Amino acid sequence: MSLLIQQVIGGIAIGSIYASLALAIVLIHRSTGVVNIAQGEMAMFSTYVAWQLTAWGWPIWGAILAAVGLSLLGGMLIERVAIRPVEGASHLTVLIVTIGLLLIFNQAAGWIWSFLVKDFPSPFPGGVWALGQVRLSASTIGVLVVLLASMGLLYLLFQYTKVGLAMRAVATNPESAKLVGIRVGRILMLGWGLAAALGALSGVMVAPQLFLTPNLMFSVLIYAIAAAALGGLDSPGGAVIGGLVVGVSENLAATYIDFIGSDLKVLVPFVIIIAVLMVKPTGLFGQREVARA
Amino acid sequence: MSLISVEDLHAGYGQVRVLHGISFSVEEGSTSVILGANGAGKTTTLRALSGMTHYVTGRIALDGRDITRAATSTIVRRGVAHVPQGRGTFTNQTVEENLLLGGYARRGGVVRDDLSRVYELFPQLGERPKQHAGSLSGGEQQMLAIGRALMLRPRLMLLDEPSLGLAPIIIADLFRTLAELGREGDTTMLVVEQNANIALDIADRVYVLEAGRIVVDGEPETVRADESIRRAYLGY
Repeated sequence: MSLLIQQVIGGIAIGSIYASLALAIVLIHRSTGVVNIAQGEMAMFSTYVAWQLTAWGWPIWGAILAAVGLSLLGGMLIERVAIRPVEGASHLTVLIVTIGLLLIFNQAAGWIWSFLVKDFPSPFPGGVWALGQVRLSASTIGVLVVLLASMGLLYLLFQYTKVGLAMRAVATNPESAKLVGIRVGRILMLGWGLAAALGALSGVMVAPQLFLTPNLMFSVLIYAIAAAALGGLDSPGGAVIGGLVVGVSENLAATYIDFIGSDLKVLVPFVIIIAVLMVKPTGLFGQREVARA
Repeated sequence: MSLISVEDLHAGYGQVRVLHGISFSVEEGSTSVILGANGAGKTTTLRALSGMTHYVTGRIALDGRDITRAATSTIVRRGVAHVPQGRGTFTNQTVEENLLLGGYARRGGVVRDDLSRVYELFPQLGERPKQHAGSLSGGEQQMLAIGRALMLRPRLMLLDEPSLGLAPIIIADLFRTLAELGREGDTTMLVVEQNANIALDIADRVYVLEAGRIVVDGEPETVRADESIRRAYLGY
């Protein structure tokens, strides 16, 4: 029983990393209709920025906050410079631009910081808490708390602020949003900024566990896209739940199903996802068009 | 004086020219109606006023100030509310959120009173503020679209075929409400319609648009009485 609890909590912690990157993907997808393939590489680049600041002697939390803030601005800049010119073009065009961004960030990180593996300091203390048989590391709990709190804040922003309502309105009906006086371009910029900031947070949370290289986020991106597809690409809540489901199912399968072990656990979430999508192609929480004619 | 005056307006999308030099004006507190068949340029006229066409030449003045090439967000902030064809519902948002979005551009935020005013005008909306707007019926969505526009406290309200796709009894109801709004006198309206018969009832002034040009300009009584106009352009 304690093993089960341990594995579930561990799964939720790693799942929260998938969830936050998945949420970033959903934020952009529901306003542009495109999966931002570069989301992971943007997060990786942000993580390098945080690493660079610590290397210059910044305290770790200061470096993380600065990197998240810079990512917010950087994401907005990317929207303005790279995405705005192809706004209204076919989805394929926008997708190709994001693939270009992926290559640019990947190569730029290698060029600036080299492809050698770097150690990213954990922002959490090294302690372990024992609750009965269950042993939880401070970093597991820390990751969970930071990411769930940031996603909670985003929820509050979307649900209870004027700018959040405007962002939802733009995602639902950009033309009507324009007609009520919303400056749609600014809202889309802000969406990219928030997605980049959230991605940055997932990057600095996963980096201490995986070591920092320009390919840091590659596997995380695969899981995040899977999580977003599972939850529904236009459902922020679905992305979060999708991320947690992927994390937990992966951990449990590795622990309890002998032939899977840690080698095949990558496959588990994909099997679940294929099963879900066969039954419900919009994902678990994806919205079917509820509009009446 | 005219709240909005349009001179020699040409507008269209990309290579397609839709309007070929139209001029008209709407007096403050009045209701003007633009009639015309499909493709005559009715929707384009309203979109040009809202800054939603790809190109515009000529001159559009709101209260004497030029808004010809202004951004949509600026035009809305000057008090022009646009009820688009097909209602433009924010389907994933609630009824109340739709209305709050209507007041998005207002300085100083939305006053509670405005919500109550819309709910009073359209009690069906007041009964379900938390319902998803996408699940409303067509008539209710049209009410919501008009309510959304009213939340701006607009100086000028543009209505694009409010009768489209609605049952006759709902249309009659809707136009009764529009007539009421018109009589109150603080909302100036420009309505485009294919449904000439019902639109003439609320009009102070009528324009008939054909192939991007205004071919008739007059009082509703005159237009109604003129059999040749009726036969040629209004089809009844």
